[in-house]
Amino acid sequence: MLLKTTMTPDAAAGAAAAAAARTVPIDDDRLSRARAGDGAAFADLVRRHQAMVFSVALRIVGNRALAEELAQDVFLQLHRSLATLESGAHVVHWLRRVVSHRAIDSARQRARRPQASLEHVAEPAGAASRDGDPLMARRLRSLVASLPPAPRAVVTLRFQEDLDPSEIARVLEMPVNTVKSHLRRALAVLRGRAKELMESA
Amino acid sequence: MRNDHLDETRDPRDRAIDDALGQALRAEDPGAAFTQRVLARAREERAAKRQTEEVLAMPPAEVSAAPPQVRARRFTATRKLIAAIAASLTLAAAGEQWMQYRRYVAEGERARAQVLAALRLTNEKLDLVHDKITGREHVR
Repeated sequence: MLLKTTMTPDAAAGAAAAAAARTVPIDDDRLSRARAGDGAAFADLVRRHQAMVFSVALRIVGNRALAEELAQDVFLQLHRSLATLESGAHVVHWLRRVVSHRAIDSARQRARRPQASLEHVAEPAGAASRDGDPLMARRLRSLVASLPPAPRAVVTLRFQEDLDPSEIARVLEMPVNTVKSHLRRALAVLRGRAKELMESA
Repeated sequence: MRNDHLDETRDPRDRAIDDALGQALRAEDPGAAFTQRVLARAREERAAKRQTEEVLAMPPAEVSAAPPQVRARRFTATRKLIAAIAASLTLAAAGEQWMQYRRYVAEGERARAQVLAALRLTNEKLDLVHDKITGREHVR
């Protein structure tokens, strides 16, 4: 089953902008310098990947403070693990994998404890202003936040990181068919609820 | 996005929703302050690690600069202290055990006295019943 859609021209422009802002792996020379203890090279590495790491964490845990703390922990773990990483692409894969797993664990732990509804979490002003329809974007984020942690992670990696199911399967360490199944069911739910919202609006 | 060309037949509304979803879930940068916090924490961690490594790399004599006699005295004093604490704990535990035993014995005594009183009362009542049955006058 196909899981991605053809885009309207506006959306295509947005996607192009997103693609331009998409995570660009650090080059091997800088990675070597970061590994050798060069603070500037490590800072560059953090700057390049912080949007991806923070946003994946935010979409999965649904809490900005927690997402920031989690993202910081991931970068500290990266700092300790630099010696084991071979290339920029390896770093990107490693970051996606670690942040997704940590965020899913954190979301599951939070689900066991009483907490405020995700719908009450304030959205950042910057995020709303970039979107075509801020209200719709907020509602969609709330709908994504209402999914269970694993499908939420799949949807986030699909739409934020533009990964295909086999790449998502590698990141989340789950079978491709499970990823496809999560994606199919999550999209059915999201589209159904989004249509209801559009009709009621 | 990848695979877009494969999906021309999808419902236009679904397409619009998926596009909106792509925009809603776009990555957002946490800002320069985030980078600074990560770097500060990394620096702290590196400094702590270096300090630990330095201490571990020191020869034992440098780790404790005290002469051997002093170290031996400290060791003996520490052992005495540990022995005293252990003895106190043992005594406290034994005292508690003894008190518990005393309470147990006292409870047994009380129960025995109650049983004896009950037997005595029962005996008296049985005597009364026996007197009534045999028609004798109770003379108490």
